Amino acid sequence: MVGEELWIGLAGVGLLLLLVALGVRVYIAAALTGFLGLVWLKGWSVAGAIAGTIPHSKTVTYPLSVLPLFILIGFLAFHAGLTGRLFEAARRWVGWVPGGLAVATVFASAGFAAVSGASTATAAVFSRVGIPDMLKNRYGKRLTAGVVAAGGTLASLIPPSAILVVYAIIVEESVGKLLLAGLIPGLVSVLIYAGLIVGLCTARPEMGCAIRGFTWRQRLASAPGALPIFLVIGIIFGALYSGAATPTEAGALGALVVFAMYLWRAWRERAIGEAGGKLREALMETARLTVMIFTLVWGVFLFVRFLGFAGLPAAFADWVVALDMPPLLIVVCILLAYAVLGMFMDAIGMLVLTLPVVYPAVVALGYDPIWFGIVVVKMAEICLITPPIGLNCFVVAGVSRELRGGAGESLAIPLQDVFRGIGPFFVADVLTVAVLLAVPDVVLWLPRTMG
Amino acid sequence: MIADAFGRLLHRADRLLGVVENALNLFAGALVFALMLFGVAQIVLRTVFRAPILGYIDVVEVSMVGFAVLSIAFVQRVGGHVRMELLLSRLRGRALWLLEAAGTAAAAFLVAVLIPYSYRHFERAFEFGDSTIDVELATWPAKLVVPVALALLLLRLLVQFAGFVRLLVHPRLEPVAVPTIKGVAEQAQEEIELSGAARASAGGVSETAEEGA
Repeated sequence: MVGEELWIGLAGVGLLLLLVALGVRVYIAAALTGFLGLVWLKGWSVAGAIAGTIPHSKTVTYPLSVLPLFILIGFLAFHAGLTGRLFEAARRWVGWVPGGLAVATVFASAGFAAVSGASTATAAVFSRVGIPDMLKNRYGKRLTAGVVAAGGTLASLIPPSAILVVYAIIVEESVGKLLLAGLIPGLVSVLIYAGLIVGLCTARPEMGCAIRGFTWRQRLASAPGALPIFLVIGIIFGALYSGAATPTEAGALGALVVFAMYLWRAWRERAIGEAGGKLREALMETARLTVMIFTLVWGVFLFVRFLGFAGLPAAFADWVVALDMPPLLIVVCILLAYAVLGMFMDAIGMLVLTLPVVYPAVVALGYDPIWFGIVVVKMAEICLITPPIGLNCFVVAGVSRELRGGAGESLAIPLQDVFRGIGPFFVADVLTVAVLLAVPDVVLWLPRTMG
Repeated sequence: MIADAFGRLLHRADRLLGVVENALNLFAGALVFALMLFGVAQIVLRTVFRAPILGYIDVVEVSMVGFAVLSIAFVQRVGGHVRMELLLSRLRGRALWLLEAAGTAAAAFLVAVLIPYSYRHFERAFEFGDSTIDVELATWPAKLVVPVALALLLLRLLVQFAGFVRLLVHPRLEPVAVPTIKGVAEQAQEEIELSGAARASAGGVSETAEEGA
């Protein structure tokens, strides 16, 4: 027997989906549905009183204050001149393996991911750095494009990651634990990517050769270029792991380090005059992305309040638990649904919309909240490299159009080649998700050992 | 040049609001920068001088509203709030403008409802002297920011609504004061431009290579 309130809840979900499909901004769709649902259940004045407090009370909580700092780190990092040095260091250290430049791209992307949580932007940066070098060394176009597009997706697992913070806030878990939990799965992704490239290039050496001949001296000489990255990683992880500083404080210190690197570079290039303008741009972009996410958060919390009154999440969880199916199969079905949804929607929007209903069910099945967060974010990332949207692939093709080789020839890689090149990396990502499903400890071990 | 008088009027309203929105967004960005400095100061004072800033968390929580809500209208103008454009991107002409106008009207309705209630939320805090836990900062200024930011958002939504209705009536006119839908390729182009500094840092490859040689 389904109660009346539950029907109202289901009607609300239906209205929300309709509004979103019609192209209404997600925060409006969620908040409007939530408000109308509350009016129905509790009357106009109670609904209004609840709705009036949420935009303030749900956004001004200390744990959320880490978000703008992580975003700021990312935008400053683009101007700090890290990418070229990182790539150079990576190619000297790991270039000797088959497909060495592609492996170096993966490692450099992972390093940059440690100061940036922006997937598409990371792909854009490494397209400029990696593609000319790989094509010059006669790497296959598809492998070249695929590795750059896939490398970008590492950004949202390896902290600092904005999307993991949003997940933590929506499901009310520890931000610090989630950020820590992303590290090892991120590294597993890196190793699986690297293993794949080495395997492919060993089987078919014409896809990508090894780059040998660097002395240890040259390797060590390239290390200082990568040091600031390790410093930022050290600060953020040291703080999170030891609990000596809150994520917000660690984010602040990390941002200051990247800002200092940015000033240092501007000074060296005698471009201090331009630095102010770029800083302004970085701050404008930071503010824009920050308010976008905060707005989404309060809009969805209004919807969540309504769902709670309607009892829908609990009912859905009961229903899922009562299903005559193994929990693993249910979770796999949920993940597949995410893969489909992610083809049409931005990752953060997709998560905030679905988690209020899906999350209680997954937890009721006995899965760990932190583990689920990492797996879901990995799924959302996979959608950045799959058609029809696959924004990372468009970015790589777009950047390559502007690139010129040593003799002025075009280095453009057509979009269809990017999508073909991404194929093996898609398989690698599915493998990564399988590893996370089979061995949850890959995710859970590090946060568990935390002080 | 915009052909119709109404379009020119909208254009002026758009520009005028835009000035305020830009200023608020820059202020929000500056506030994030201040948050960074404040956080570093807290770490240094606490670990080196063993004298943490009293009420650090209170100050952060009170000032957060500045970057959490203040520039919401700016993001609405540039079309930065997340949505699914699967259907919209396939529509052209009147059908598109009708759907956009309806969506904007729904948004304006919601925001119009939220303004008085969020103002009441501020009023209660003001009358009862609500304050933060540690150092008892008054919370009403932060709560007042919400209805103010939402009022600006409402103005922006009304301008956009008028812009969509204008196009609905005269689909041949040039779009004014409305965000346009970007295809994936255009979005990709924006991301590329956003990380534009990469062009310069790509030069860093040869630079460091020479250092090493």
